[in-house]
Amino acid sequence: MALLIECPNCGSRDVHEFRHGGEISDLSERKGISDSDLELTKYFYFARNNAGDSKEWWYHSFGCRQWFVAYRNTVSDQIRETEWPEKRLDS
Amino acid sequence: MVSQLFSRQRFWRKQELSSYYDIVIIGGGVHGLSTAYYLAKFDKDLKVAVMDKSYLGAGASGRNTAIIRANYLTPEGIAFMNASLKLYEQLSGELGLNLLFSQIGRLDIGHTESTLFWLRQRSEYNQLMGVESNLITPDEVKAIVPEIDLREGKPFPIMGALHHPPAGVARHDAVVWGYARGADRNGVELHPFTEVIGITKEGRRVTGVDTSKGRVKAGLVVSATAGWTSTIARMIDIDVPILTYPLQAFVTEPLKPMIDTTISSGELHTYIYQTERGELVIGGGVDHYPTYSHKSTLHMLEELATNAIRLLPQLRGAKVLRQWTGICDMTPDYAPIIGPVDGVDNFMLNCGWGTWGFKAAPISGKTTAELILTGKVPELIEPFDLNRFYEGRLINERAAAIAAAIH
Ligand SMILES: Cc1cc2nc3c(=O)[nH]c(=O)nc-3n(C[C@H](O)[C@H](O)[C@H](O)COP(=O)(O)OP(=O)(O)OC[C@H]3O[C@@H](n4cnc5c(N)ncnc54)[C@H](O)[C@@H]3O)c2cc1C
Repeated sequence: MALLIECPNCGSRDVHEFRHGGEISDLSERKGISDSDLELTKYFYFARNNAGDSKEWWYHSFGCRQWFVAYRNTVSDQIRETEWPEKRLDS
Repeated sequence: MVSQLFSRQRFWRKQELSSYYDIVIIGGGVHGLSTAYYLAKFDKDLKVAVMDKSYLGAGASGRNTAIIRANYLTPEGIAFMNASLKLYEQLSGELGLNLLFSQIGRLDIGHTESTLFWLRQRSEYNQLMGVESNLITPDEVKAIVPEIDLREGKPFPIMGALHHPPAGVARHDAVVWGYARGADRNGVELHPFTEVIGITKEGRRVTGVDTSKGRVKAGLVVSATAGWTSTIARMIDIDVPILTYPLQAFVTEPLKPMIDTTISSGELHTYIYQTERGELVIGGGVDHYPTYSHKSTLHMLEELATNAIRLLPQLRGAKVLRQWTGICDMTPDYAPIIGPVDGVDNFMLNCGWGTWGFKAAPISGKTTAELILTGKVPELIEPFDLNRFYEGRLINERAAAIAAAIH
């Protein structure tokens, strides 16, 4: 799969420059320090792993080293859109 | 009589879908089929159906590299895989089909001190549990694989290996077909090209499945869908700790006999063996991100070929015959998940086979059938319940897969 990923900063680059950072779903949300054991367990180990549309983190590790959000179809492996996260993690 | 030997016989019958089965197994891979086989063997009166959305063996079961071994790391993993290996030793006879099972052994190569330490740890655990497994020197490796590159000063020098003589390979399709035929002969209905599109429920009780050929009621529904398990989980709203990753492999054109064992390097993420036809089978770890796509990549071919040549320089220039991909249900601790799910009745999971499930199929099917028929969890699969993730009992079977080295 000669997938190209559109980095919001660097433009279209080979998928091997990037690291997948996991899905963004109800199971990947963390409230923070108040998480219960159950919530932490789900966060660490469980995933929707959807066959079809997936919103997920990607990291341009061999490029600008920025995290961004991608919308990917996990069956066709096409990335429809990439964007900066609404809220940066450090804000 | 002789003509009978060569007569063309179907391995299984074509069936019309009934409106009720005692047990519906979703997934006609090697785990679904072996579960069906042992269920019917133990209880001939059960009405069992196996449904697959494609042909039997269309998933990873028809795409794997067929390595069978028991030199695992954890007591749970070693006991389970050794029991499976023992069943494989009898399986051609049991199924009345030559599975081409040959115990050509296994070498896990170490290129660094730290890997040797970890291989040593495995050999100690293996021996404690009665599994033949020894740490051997480079010269002993050379005696087994004369073609191996022992030159010093290269980036990945060979410092030793874990030698596991009872390991082997089998014809993976034959195992699928053998279990399918055995199940059919014991009265199991096989329904290829029958997709499960929904699971019917009353309250917390599963009552059957909706298929591409209509609704079917069932006393118990078992999901044996490996890489597709999350799609089944979604139908009944349960959470599973699974990510679907592709695993690729390739074969070269047939060459003269050069190695008669399986060799693997965790550090190079590459394993190699030669088939009876002379093809070199070369595989490695999963792709670097999860996907359901079955496309093979030039990137992986280059990586595997480069590393194969590092181990066996004679492979330089060999022509690639074909390359393929299957999808794998990776669990966080490289161990399977077998058994019921809290909060859902009449439903069972058999999954978490990742890149290591072919070798496990006989014991997985047998123990899953025992669990279903007796309601008691067989000791061998007690550690593999879904609740271990909620209760902090992860297994960490890091010897299950080359993938375990990169995750
Ligand atoms: C390249 C490669 C190499 C491997 N090498 C090895 C090895 O050397 N040794 C080893 O032990 N293991 C190996 N494995 C792993 C092994 O192949 C798998 O773990 C094993 O085959 C899983 O078997 P299964 O029956 O659980 O799943 P599968 O064979 O994947 O079967 C699942 C079936 O479910 C069906 N299905 C899915 N959804 C539905 C639905 N909604 N309705 C109906 N049917 C459905 C699919 O069509 C599929 O046939 C390898 C895997 C790959 C891809």
